[in-house]
Amino acid sequence: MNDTSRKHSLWRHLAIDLGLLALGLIVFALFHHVLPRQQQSLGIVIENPYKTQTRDSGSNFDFDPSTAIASAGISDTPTYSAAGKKNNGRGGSNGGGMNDKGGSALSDTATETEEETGDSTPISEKFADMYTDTVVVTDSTYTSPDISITVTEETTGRITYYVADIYVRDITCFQSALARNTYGSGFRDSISDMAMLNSALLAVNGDYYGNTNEGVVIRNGVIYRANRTDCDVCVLYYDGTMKVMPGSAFTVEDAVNDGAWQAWTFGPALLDTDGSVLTSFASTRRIISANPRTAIGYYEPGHYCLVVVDGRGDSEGITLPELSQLFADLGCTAAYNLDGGNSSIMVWQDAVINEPSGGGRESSDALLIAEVNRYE
Amino acid sequence: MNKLRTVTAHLTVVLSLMFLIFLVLDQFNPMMNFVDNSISHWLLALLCVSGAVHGILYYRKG
Repeated sequence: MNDTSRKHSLWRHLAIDLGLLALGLIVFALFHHVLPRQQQSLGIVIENPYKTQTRDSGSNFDFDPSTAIASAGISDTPTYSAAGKKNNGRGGSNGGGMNDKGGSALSDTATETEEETGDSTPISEKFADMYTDTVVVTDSTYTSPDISITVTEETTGRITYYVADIYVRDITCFQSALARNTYGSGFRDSISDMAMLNSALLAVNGDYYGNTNEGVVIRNGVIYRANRTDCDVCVLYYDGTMKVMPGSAFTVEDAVNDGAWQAWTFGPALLDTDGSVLTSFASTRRIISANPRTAIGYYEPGHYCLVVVDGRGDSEGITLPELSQLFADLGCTAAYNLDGGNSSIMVWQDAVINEPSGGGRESSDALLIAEVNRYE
Repeated sequence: MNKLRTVTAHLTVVLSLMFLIFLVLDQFNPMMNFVDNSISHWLLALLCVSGAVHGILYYRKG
């Protein structure tokens, strides 16, 4: 074979390989995250030990976790009280167990925020001055007997961010929504649609759990997944406390015993266990650099904030150390980074109020604030 | 045997490039878990087999 035909043969082979590479990547993407695929859920329902009668004797939106899994096609579901006793159904699962690697900047124990604050007052009896007897709505506030939200837009230098300061009298007002109301990968909805379908007052994107099989997914009291993860895990409990812990510290037993209401896997933690600013993060340089962000902050049981930072446009985004400082400045005692980039979207009063990068994108889940009682 | 060698050569090149792309994507978005998922595990096994078979066939040809 002479040099010319050898060269032609090489280019022909390379062209074939590039074609096959493109085909392979498309097929991989289809099966990895594009094609909707319902996943097997652990289906463990954790019941609310603080459940109270609704104040409104008429129709209500009182949330029952045991009904939340019906749409996910889960049957014969074990339910647990927050005291950890199984009430009925099959035996539970330990979710495959967690590893002990933990790429977290946190210490290996969860933040026991309630013990730190020493406050054991139920959230239903706190912040009375934040609520109103009737629903009062302005452009930037919403107050009712159960919820108080104040949304502000802030600009610091070249960073624009939105802070939703939230008080809830009933933790079930702090809800999650799954795209297409189905647990699985490849299911996506816009945050606006999820907010509208769930009558949410406020909504932000969640942790995009559908992109991976790792980590912990607890939504509205249902444990869908509790797999090994090196990421930090954020857990919101029925008593209103929120803990951010290394993935290695999470166990299904603890979640059941402590009454977990929501849990997200993305991270990292943005504040140290004592609420101080973190300067190092177990993440790649590209992730730490300035990006659009969505994050949740925790002050004390019943008082939270959701922050969305715009980026890749007029607002240049925020680095993780800057975001950590922002939550410390807000006075939070714990904070957790959720999915960001094009996903970062805040919906307030049925409208997207930030400027999502690239026009935003659909997500597999959302965090919502919604009334569980009907008020006129 | 020549055909098998051609196939394994293509497989090795294509799968190697796929994993290089996964590694780059993993730097940008580790939460997507491009490298450490069940599909990638199968592709990695296939890459190992095709690489080994291709190497053996190369030795055989001498």
